[in-house]
Amino acid sequence: MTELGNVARREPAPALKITDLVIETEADGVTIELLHGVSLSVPAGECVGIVGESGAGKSVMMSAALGLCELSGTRVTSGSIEVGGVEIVGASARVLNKVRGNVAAIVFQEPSVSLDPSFTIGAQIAEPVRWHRRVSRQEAWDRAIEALRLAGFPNPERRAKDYPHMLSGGLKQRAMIALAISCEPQLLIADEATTALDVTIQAQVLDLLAELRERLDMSMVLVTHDLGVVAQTCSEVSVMYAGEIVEAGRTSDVFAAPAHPYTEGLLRCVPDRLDREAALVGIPGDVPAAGSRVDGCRFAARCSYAEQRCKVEAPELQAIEEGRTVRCHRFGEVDLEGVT
Amino acid sequence: MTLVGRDLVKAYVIERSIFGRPRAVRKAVDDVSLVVEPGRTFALVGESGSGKTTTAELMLGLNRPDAGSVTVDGADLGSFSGRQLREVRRNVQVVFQDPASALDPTQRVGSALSEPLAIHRSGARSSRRQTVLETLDLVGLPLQPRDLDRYPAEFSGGQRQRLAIARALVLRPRYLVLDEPVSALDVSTQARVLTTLRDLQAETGVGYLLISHDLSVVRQVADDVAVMYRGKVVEQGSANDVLGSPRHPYTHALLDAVPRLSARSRQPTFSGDVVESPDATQSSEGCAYRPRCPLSTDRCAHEVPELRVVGDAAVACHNVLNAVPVASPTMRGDL
Repeated sequence: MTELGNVARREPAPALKITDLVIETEADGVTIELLHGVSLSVPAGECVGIVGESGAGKSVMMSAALGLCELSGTRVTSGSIEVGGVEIVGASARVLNKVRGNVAAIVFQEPSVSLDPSFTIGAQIAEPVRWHRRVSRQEAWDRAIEALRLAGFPNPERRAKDYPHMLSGGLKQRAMIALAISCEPQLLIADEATTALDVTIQAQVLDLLAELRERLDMSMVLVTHDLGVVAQTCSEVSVMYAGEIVEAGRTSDVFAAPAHPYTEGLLRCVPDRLDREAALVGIPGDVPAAGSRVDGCRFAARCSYAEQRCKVEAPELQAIEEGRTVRCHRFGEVDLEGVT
Repeated sequence: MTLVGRDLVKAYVIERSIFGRPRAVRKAVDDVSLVVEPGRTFALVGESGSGKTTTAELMLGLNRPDAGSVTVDGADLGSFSGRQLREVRRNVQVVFQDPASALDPTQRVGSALSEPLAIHRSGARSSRRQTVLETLDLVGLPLQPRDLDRYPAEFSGGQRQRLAIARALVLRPRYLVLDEPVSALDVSTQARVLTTLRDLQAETGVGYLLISHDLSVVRQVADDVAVMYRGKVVEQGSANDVLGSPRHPYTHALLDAVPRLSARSRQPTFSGDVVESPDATQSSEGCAYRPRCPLSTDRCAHEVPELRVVGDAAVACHNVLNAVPVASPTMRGDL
């Protein structure tokens, strides 16, 4: 199962390989498990989407992938994360610093928080280049401008001297992307990178990411709650719920014929632009609070297909066809509706 | 009985000379008119910076227009001050985007929700808790009396937005301004809150002024739509008409940009690169949308297009009558 999606390829090691990852945090002296043994593989050159409601553990997992657990006050208790073949869990600061920004980079949702207001964006992009590539100031600056150009910045020579507050939201996000690609990483993680943007700007940024992925031969992980974005950009998708992956596979397959009731529910929540009368269904109830004790399936309480077994016995992730997994007792017994 | 904004204009000075003379002025809202009827939803759509929220502020009387007027059931907001204004506002309430910042984290929800009643001296003190509980039922968040002593942080995002909606509703206003009411919520929760808003309208006949950049949300709840671009309305009409068969190139672009579940291949969004934000201070010569528009001609560079009636909608575009085939999603390339 850890070889998910990887079987048919004879390609180099996956860009990101997460195996049985367990992450905990502590609140009021109580230990809470946030991820319950998640496995995920991002094949080189592919774009994988991770979807799920807030609280699913998407961001926690991606922060861990770059060894940023301490920042979010969490810790990896077991499992492994390999980025470009390098083990991240338990790695020294020296190793992590070599990986971050260089082999793998991340773009967060809120660019205004990620950019330092007291430095020009050119300087912020040049810094990691100088650090990772040991080049001269001038060369680093030139590369920063080149990265801004790649990120679709208008007039990069001049705008590189701008401070973050002088840029619009869309431009700030482009600056973040330029920063992320400045050292030509093999893996780019976009954590809700377009969520805060207007639809028109979002469309541009998505086009840009797709183009960059091709040009720089990057792999990409797109963390988002927008299934439309996933449908358009990701070849594969993993659906997360309450710290677990509940379904994974090729995006077109998963959306056309979801195998997990939660996936079906998420798809139904997306308002159909063409049919106003289509009732918005939504998913009743809320994500169980982290750390709450659940016997059986974590989704059972909100699932309209749940039966007795679901409430007592936790379902395992099972492979249902090549590259396709689902965590549901009732798979094969219920007819789920997809999107055509 | 309507909430009407007529020919609203609001301009801000964005640059002054050293002697304090205005050097550059930006019209955040430029000649916008809209009507919110009871039981119906009027939606303002556009990107950030298009003037949606400023328009909402004018409609709420939180901000005074430089020109034009806002009338609530026939009474002109501009003619009121202080206490009278408060009386009018009772009928026009607002729900903001982010429930986490709209609710005071240190105030118990019961106190937060009954505060509007206290301010407007509505009902006896003893009956206020009951009113709050009834309103919570109405918004699909039935709480026990003891839950009123909890703090906002103890509720989930969707529940908090319901609390915010309930607070806006306790005074039973006739109009509700919804400023991006679901964009901070998860999709699963969005759907439920939208359904609640729709049911609520059917039940109470409240009129909504919906501000949103999310066309799929607008599509679900709006009866009438105005699409704004840099302070101006570029297209206005019934939701079916505007979103179903858009005429203005900007409306097309907005609809094209919405990520869709099916149809994996999308048209590249804009032919012209849009990168620069629409905060430009350039003179208002010509059409504001021209730099991004695939249809623009020489005329667009010199003449500001007026809002003209085309069929059942109104459109501000020089090229719309002959050039844009109605209901075709792709109109780039062959023009």
